Amino acid sequence: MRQIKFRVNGVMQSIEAADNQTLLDILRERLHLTGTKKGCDEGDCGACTVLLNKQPVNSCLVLAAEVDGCEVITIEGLANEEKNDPIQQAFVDCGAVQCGFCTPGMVMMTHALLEETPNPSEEEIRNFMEGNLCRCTGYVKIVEAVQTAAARRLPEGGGECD
Amino acid sequence: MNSFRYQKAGNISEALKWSKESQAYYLAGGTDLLGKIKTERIKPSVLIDLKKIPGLRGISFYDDRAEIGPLTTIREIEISPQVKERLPILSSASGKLGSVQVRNKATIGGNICNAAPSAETVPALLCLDTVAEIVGPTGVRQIPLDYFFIGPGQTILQNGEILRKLIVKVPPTTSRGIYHKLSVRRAMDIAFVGVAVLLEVVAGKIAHARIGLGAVAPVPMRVPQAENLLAGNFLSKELITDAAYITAQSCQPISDIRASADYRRLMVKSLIEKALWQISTTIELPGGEVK
Repeated sequence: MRQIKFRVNGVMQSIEAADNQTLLDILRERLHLTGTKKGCDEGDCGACTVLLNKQPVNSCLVLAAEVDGCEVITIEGLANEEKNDPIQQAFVDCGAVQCGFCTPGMVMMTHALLEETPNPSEEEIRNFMEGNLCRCTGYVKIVEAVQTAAARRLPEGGGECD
Repeated sequence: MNSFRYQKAGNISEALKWSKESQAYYLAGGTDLLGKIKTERIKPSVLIDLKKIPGLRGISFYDDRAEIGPLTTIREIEISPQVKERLPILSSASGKLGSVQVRNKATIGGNICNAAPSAETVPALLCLDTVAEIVGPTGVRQIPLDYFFIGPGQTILQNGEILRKLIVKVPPTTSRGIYHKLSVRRAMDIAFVGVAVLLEVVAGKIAHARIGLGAVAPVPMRVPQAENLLAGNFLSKELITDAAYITAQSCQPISDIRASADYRRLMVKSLIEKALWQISTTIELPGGEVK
């Protein structure tokens, strides 16, 4: 076991972890941040996406030991108790949530995409989010939700779903 | 996951020392390695994390070459404005590896040292006459990347040697490069054929040609016969057909779950033709268009 200190959703955490534990497992099992989902556990599905030093990564492919000194944002870090994050709200408004299992990963990717490309084309959205699988296959609504979230962030506003 | 110890190396000599332990593995991005550990294809005793060793990450450009640290992430290479401008074929190939999440973690050194025949960045790196600088217990050596791979998952690295630097030739601005990837699923799948073509064209004539192939032989390979055929000639319809034919004859594909050997060979021919035609439309020929 080793002591790992890292910042999660703005709060400094110091926890013990085994060398073979992943970031995903300590987030879910030690910090009880179960919004981050375990899907394939091998980097193919994107359900476990978190921001590691602001970059989206599959937390199942990161060792806990590797994040010592790093900053991690999970889905819990976007919203607060009272209010959804605007990206989450766009997913709700557009009906982009079916079973909901892929949604946290999709929302984290949308967050990362809009940080670097505030007004993405549909192709850019699909390319950026190709590592996130929706087993309900609700991709059309998800793309609409990303477009809506993007439009609402732009100064001129707008962007309501059909 | 099976248990193993994790050790963060602070410098090269520490990593070399620790690597002597049986079943010690170096850890770079880990996107491939952790998958292999989870599925018990490998059972490491210790993972030696190289990411904190100074000087192994980043991209520097000089007049005619770029030096790339092996721990530079694939995503950094993909989106670097300088790489886009001066090594577009490498930027394009990098953007075709895995997903954004994987590319944020995966490194170019990891992609090379895993030595998958389908390694996404390697056909482009072969076209760029990349030299691998390797450091080991007995010192430093430089090896052209053409000689780095000896079989699927096997490289010339021995006795804990570490890939320390990639020295990449920056082609002149008159060069045109293209990388084509075929995969069963466009995203999140490895290539079953990867084809990279780089031509330097002066006054319509090919001054320098490189062809790199992935996933169609036990190792990523160059095709000197086709390169020699192209060099010194004007890009004609016959030359394109001949170069594609020779390339398809030179590769040694296998049949597996993704594609048959025959299909792979056919696609190599087709993609080489496509790449050469695409390049031909971007160059100015003294006699006009390719006939």
